[in-house]
Amino acid sequence: MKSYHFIGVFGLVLLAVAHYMGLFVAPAEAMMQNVGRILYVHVPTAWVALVCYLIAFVSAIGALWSGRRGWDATAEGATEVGVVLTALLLFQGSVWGYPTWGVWWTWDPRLTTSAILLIAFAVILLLRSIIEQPERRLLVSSVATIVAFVDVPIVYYAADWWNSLHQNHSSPDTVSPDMVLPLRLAAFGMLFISIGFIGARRAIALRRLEAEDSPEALPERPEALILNEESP
Amino acid sequence: MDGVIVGGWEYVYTVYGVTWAVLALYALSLYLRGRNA
Repeated sequence: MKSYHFIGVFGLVLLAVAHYMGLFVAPAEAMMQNVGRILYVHVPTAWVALVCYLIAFVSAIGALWSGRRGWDATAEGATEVGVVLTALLLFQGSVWGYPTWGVWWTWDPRLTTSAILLIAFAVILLLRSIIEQPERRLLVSSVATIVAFVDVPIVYYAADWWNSLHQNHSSPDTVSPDMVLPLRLAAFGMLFISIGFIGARRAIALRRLEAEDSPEALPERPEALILNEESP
Repeated sequence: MDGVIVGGWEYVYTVYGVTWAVLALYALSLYLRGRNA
């Protein structure tokens, strides 16, 4: 087993403990009551999704700077895990929003910019799958990742910058101590699971890049060239 | 009290259940893709 497998399994255990505490140990929130327990899942998912995009952004810069496929593979892994978590957090937010806001979806700045984030990075994954030439794929996807990352701080500060329906940031000072522990455990659990996922996905991307570099993957010689060699 | 949400466990269990299901399915997809790569 690789080190990222152990990190992922440790994250699973942390997340399971955190969710047990969130469901059965932590007190119900004053106004949201039990629906507030969704936040032990939703908030860590959102935090870690943004961390995944930060890893993808740094890796994209590293890939552009060095041209090394390790950076490119890390960017690919972090992008895919970020997309999975963003899709998940939009679903979680929607299910939380219905009993609290009365709607499944609204064009609130935080929600809208998060949806843009999902679409932008999903398009980058699509680009990675359709561009066959490795150097061109690295260049296009790295530049696109750096451009798409501009949306990450906008998502983070959207609730502060605009008069948003979405809540502002909380801190340990504004959250009951009984709720801080399961929230922190869930955040670290989700982070470690995601590191495990990125490591596994990076290994798959690296194997693909190595296969593309192998002599069998080189294009066959054009037939016209062979004919020219045979001509007198 | 006005504004207090009554019940809502079905939303809670839906979110927790779908989250664990997605994480498990994604882990399975990584395992299968890693094996076939």
